[in-house]
Amino acid sequence: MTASLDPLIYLKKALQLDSGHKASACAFAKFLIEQGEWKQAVEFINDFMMETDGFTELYNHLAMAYLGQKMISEAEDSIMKALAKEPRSKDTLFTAFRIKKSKGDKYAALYYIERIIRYDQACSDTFIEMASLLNEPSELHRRINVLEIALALSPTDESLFSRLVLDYCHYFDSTSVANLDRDLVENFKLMQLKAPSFSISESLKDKLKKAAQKVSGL
Amino acid sequence: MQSEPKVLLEKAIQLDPNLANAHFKLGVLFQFEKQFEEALECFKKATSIDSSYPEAECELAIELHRQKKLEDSRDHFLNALELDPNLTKAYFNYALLLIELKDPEEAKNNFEKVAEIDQNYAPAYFHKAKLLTSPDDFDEARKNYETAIDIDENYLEAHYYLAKLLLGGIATNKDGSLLDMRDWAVAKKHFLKVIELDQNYYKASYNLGKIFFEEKDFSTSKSHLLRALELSPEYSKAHFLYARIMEKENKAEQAIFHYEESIRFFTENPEALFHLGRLLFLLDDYPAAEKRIRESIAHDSQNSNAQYFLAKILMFEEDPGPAKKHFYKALEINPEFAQAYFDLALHAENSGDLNEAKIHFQKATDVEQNFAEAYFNLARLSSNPSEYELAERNFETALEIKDDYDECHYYFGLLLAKGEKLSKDGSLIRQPNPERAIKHFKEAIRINPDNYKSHYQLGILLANNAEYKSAFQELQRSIKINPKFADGHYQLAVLLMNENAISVLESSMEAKKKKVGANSKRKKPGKK
Repeated sequence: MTASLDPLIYLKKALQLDSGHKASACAFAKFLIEQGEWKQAVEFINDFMMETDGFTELYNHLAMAYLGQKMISEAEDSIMKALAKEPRSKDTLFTAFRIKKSKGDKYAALYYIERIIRYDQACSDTFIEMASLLNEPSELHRRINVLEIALALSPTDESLFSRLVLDYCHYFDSTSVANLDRDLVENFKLMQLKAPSFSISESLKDKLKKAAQKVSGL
Repeated sequence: MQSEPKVLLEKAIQLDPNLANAHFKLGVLFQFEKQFEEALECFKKATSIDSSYPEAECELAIELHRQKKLEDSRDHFLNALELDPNLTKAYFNYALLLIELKDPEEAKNNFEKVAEIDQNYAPAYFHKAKLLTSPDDFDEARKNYETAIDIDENYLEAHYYLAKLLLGGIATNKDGSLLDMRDWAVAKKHFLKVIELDQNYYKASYNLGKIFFEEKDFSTSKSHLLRALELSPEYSKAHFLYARIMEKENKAEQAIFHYEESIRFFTENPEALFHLGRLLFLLDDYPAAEKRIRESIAHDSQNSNAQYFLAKILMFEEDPGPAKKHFYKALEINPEFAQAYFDLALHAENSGDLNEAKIHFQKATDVEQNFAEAYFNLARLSSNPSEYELAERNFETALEIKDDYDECHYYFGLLLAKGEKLSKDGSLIRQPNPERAIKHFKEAIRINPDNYKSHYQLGILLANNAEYKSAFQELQRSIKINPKFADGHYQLAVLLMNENAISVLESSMEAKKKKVGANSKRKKPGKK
């Protein structure tokens, strides 16, 4: 008889054998969340926690499942329980960030992303998420700096490079020569040197050229 | 009707009441007929009539001895010997009196005197030998028994005691160190001679049984012990030894019966009580086992094994204190009791005192340097990263002693897979050695193919190495061996949630199907 390759069969069996098997519960909840089965995930986790004490990872999954259903208040409640148990868990902080972001509470979202960065400064995705929050014109300068860090962490990421080029172009378009930030200009010049190693679109190439002309005299 | 000589002697005395010789001879006749009171009176008369009559003095002393008038007896023996310094019978019987008067040295001298006067007086050699009980006198005792047998080859007691001497065989060297002079082959020969002379001599049968028991010839031992029990059904020692054989033959019910019989016929029997308690413990009857072992300790508190088994029984109690107390007692009696250190360590571990457990495992290895299980458990408990090297060394030692120790290979694999240790500056570092770990998990599986935990751990390591097919097989084996192993099912799910793994496994299954299909097609013409 051929063994099954369906992970769910094994997960269900593990939970059937040990109804308190935490790792299996987490994996099963995660699987449901990845499949977009938010409601089922919430029901499963709540059932599981009726017999077993809640723990960080499962509260985090519950928060994600509630978030998937746009039940923000319940999601916040769950993520607070997770954070109370492990305030330095990167995954939990990231879910908290996503909840706040979804709620439109930009400053709270930024607070959580900054906390993540404090514990882990080597993940470009965190900086990309942070950049996505900095969407005010007044935050353009800061956003460029954040994206620069993200690119330094993922130096071959083409979409990141394109995004950074666009932001630089936008900055040079919207700022008079006299008000240009010297450091940004220097960074831009360094970035230009990297351009040949990326396959960027023609329109972006044009924009890059224009921006280059603007700072060439500086 | 009275016998004729007696009538004649009485007539002679009637005619002449001062005939000392007639009184003496009449006394001898009464002795012969076991009329000792009358004999005593005759000898008294004879000596009062003739104060220079050594034979009468001697017989009077013998009768006084029989009546437990020991000091009076001594006086008359001395009178006899003063009157006749070569009177063998007086020397011999005086020596027997001296044994009762707790003067063995003087008794020995008198037996020697007998042998000087009459070199063929076998009982003198025999009784002297019986007095030579010190290990220093082993050779001399043996020589005297042998001489007694040389003089009288049917001297039953000499055969029996010589055999007993050779059964024990405790002797000393010139420098006082103990020597093992056991000679069971010769001892057996003499016990058999005893049985030849007296088929009802049950002690000889028992001792033969004992020798064959020690030689592990249980079948022969059994037949001799059964004979002893047939002759003397209340013989406690024979019941005990027979019970030991029954235990060795896994006949627990019979063993219990004979231990109980042994105790019934000799209640203050710590050995039988201990062995019965130990057997009941092995049969999981803990309350009965505890009762018997406690009774054994009440009679002999210095039996380290009894203290040890009582501790083992008390390990099941909630309070760890009493068991610990008896483990310590066992170790106080026998500080070289490695197994007691080992079990005390397990007990400490079960009570949550890991540091104490480690100390006792260590002690067990100090006492018994080839104690693989103790090295293994010491290593297993050294789980702190600061003890990594210690754990590694002890696992290696355990495996050097016992290389087919699957559990040790498994735990060593875990240590190597985890690889948590402290750097020189004290910070925690992770340096797993998956290659070595895999080697040990594989070895554990080779030794015990049903070691599902090793299959499981091996599966995890192979998955980490992207050897998905083998990983899948190992994890499958772990849950096949133990279908209730939740972790195994979980790890399979984790593996199958890995996209790379699933693609490898799917293509492998596809290839397998194709192969099966091709084979079945090829078989068709054959079927026609």
